[in-house]
Amino acid sequence: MKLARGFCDLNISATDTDLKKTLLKALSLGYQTLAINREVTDTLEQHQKGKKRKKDDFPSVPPPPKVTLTKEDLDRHGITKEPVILTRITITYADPGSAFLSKFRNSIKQYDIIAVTPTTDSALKQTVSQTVVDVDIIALGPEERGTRFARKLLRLAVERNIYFELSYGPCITDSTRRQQTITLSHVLHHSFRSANIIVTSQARIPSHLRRPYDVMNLGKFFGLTDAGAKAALVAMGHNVVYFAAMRRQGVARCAAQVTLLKNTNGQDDSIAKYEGLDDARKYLKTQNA
Amino acid sequence: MHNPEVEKHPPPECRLYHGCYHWEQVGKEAAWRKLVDQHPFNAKISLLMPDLPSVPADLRELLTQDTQFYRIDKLPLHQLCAPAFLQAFLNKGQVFGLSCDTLLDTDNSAVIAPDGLLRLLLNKFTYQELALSGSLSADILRTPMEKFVVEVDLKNPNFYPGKPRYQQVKNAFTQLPLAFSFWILWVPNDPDVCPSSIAKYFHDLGYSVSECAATLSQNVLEKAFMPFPGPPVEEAGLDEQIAEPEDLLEWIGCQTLGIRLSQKESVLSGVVEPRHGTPVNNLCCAQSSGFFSPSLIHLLIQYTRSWLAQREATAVPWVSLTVYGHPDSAMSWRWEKPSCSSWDNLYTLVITREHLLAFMLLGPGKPQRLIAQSHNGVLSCGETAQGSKTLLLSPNTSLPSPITQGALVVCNKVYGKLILEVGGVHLRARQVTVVIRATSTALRMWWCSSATTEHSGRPRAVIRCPTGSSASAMPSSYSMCLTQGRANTSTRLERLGLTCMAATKGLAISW
Repeated sequence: MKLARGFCDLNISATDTDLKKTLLKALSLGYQTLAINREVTDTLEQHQKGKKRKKDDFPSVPPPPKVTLTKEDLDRHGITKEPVILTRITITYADPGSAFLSKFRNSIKQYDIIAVTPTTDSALKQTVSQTVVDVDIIALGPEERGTRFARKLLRLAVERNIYFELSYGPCITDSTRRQQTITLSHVLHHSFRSANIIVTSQARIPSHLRRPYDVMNLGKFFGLTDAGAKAALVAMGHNVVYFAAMRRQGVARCAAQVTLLKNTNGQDDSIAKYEGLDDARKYLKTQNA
Repeated sequence: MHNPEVEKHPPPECRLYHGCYHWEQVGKEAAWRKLVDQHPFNAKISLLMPDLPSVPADLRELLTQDTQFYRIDKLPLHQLCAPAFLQAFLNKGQVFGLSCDTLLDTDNSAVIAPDGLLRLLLNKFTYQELALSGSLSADILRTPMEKFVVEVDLKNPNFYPGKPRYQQVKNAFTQLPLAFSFWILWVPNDPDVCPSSIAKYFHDLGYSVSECAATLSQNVLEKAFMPFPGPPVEEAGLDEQIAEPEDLLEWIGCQTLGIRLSQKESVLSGVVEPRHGTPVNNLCCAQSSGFFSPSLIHLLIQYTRSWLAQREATAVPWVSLTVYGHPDSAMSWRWEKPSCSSWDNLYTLVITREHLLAFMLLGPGKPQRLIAQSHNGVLSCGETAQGSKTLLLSPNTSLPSPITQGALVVCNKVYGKLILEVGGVHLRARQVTVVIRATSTALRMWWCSSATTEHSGRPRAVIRCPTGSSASAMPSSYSMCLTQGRANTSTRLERLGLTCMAATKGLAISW
């Protein structure tokens, strides 16, 4: 189980050409935990009513990309710390009724981090309630309609330890994207005071990357405080990786066993098992009463 | 939230304590001895001595001969609890250990203080996995909960196998194999024992040990004007000639950086020549970086004192010794409550024939957020002749229009030159106003750059302070204003640059 260390950049787009260069650049800038992102879009074709989608219409989910960085690569760029490289998949889909997620559940589960970009309200509802697949990050994409996200859903997501992503990479090139990202960040701030936010780069080429301290400064424009901006890179990133790993391990159940060692009367009472702490407390109350 | 504060960032508070001591004072009065002893991890020493064309051989020998320290890679912490280590080294001398390559704000770091305290500064996940109890760090703001301090007293007489505390610590360290690369220095109590036996011990255990030595560099200025350090004398008229402590420190720092001081305060520079002082020749500034123990500092003080006694008073009025701590160490000062901070911690001793003036510079007193100072290898290859410190700063960007160019400005400050790196793919030539706010003067300069593109697509300009002009300031904050310039194909640096802060005052980096 790989845990995150240092500064995290959890969205580096997996293009075929520049991936290694981008990774090395990010590591030399100071990030230590990187996640290679692969985007999969569930294309919703305008099919006629009634017809079911054929099997060919589904886009396929490729297996996770593997990148090895040799020691010489690291030395050449002066990277002293050991990098942690994870894999991530971002699924964009609109229709919660489509069978896409359940069909490819196994291949999706091979990735370390699962992110979702829902484009409709109902899709958002499905991801938050986490029926089909466990989601770690919700990356809300650029939306033409303004604030359509229901605050209750967003708050519910925060309670369930789902993190929201703000990426600054597209902001560098495109000014409309910039405005949309800032609007989105304001919305998130209004909804839940920017509690569970990570900032990522979504970098396709190495020059989209920025140093972590610069990104922390940029976080101020995204409505984060100083501490929040630092947390968005460090602590929240670590949390995302940790929760993702825990989700893959499975639901943790804990059983409590309460044993009474000795009765207050001095006799050895038989060791009794109780169903839970409440029962034990009730027993103690009856004892003391 | 809608208008984030991007302009006003007050500089962090910097505390200066100073005192004047007579050489004959002993005991509690000689607080300077305690000052030296309680700063265990000294990373750099800077000496300012007039009338010295080059560093004399015995001083060079003192600084470089016996000052080897060892770097041990990936030493797991349970080795430090091994009874052999405890008996052979910890109890028979002073062990100084500092974890290298760990940044204070993102990584776990560890120090071993000479009196046997192992102090770990851990991130939240590591602390939760390590089964030892600790507390939230007092120097770092508690919300969000970031850093935890775990302290183990290795020299406790109850710390040996068999005792419950020892078992607990050993189990915790074995269960979570927390390993750091340490710089280790051992000063044995018995002078006959060779200090390198600690290296041999770890080498025999199978860890890779490398020996590091202190480096020495020097910088000689031909003519200088040294201010009077004080203490105030009773004679009338001479009282005003004594320099204020801040001014004295500023002067010392300027000499360390090689800043030429002008006579009058001009618009370019807020630092001037001292009004009253003694002219001297051949002011030598020797700097040595490595890993030094307080006993070496005491030896240096003795040496300079005897050297001072041999020279005339007019040629050599006083000598100063500045000691810097390592910026990423988890313990800067070993008081009852050891403190650490990511700001500058240093002390300066001004040695005259009768007195010793001690100045101690500390960071802010209140808990701070851990942000912003990443020192990329203070002790390693990023050194210029003046001892550079590469700081990654991002000054306050006050942008006139919302982030129009997607430019993020990173300031790399190396003492002696200011490297401004402007990021942004479409940035070809920009007019950047750099406003450096000193205490009273402001310095404005324009530059157009399209200089080296070390980082692809990112123009970068190196602004040096040419020796002719004395453009220097004591900036306490800066802000950068990025305006959209005309697409200018001129590629020359337009105006001259400015040097960076004096070495002694706390660097006020504002965000």
